[in-house]
Amino acid sequence: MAFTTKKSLLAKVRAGDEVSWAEFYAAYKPLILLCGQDCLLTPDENDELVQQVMSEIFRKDIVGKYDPDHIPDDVVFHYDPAHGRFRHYLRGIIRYQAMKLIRKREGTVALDDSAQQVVEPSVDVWDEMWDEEWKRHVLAMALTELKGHVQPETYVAFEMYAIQERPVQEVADFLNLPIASVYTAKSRCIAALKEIISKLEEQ
Amino acid sequence: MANHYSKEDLELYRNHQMSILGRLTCQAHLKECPACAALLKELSEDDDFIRQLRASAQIYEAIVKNEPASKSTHHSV
Repeated sequence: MAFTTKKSLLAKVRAGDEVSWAEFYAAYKPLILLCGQDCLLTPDENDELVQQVMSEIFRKDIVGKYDPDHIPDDVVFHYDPAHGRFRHYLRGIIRYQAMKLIRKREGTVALDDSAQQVVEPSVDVWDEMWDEEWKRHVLAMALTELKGHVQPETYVAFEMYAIQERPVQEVADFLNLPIASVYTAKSRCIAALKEIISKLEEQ
Repeated sequence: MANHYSKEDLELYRNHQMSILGRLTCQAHLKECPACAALLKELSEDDDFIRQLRASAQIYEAIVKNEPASKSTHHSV
């Protein structure tokens, strides 16, 4: 049973609903950073990558104007389904912006210690990388969404036992439950997660 | 046991949390019951799923805290 009827971010994107900068930034910044790390971008380049990708999606020139962590709430976007699947649209934007940063670096003569010589990934390599990062993203988002889909006690039992890897007896004692109930909680959460993931994968 | 074992029963079985008698009975049942054997296999698949979930959660936690993410299958270019 869901405790919240609030639409998930991806459900809003799919429906073409209004999505705020803050919500989008919190959900996608890690994915963009991980893609940048895969391309061996430096931390500064990675920050720039996040800003450029967000600027592109929101069609807003934020670089040098706003602190990306404090963008006004009225900065929103609606995803146009004419772009195709959102995950493919996002993949294209991140790749394009990452390539721009790599090319920019190639144009510089001296590299500092933190910058490694990198080459542009081929489309195949990029796609493979992207699929792995997207899978991670979906799993991480599903785990975040799980809270709203199961009873609080079920969630706590699952988090302690499956995610934090606490001994089952310790979890059972903490929640004052029989051990079998901890296993039931695990089973329910896995079923709920798989359902959430299959919805997220439709994006 | 005349009927099938539940997932919870099989968790107790595979985690050595059944009595010796219960364990031996379950073991015998699993040899003869494809449905329960399949359920036991499903639990192993759930373990793999949880490992992936845990790894993703750890990587995301690290990246949000501004730490470089260490990935088991890092494929830098």
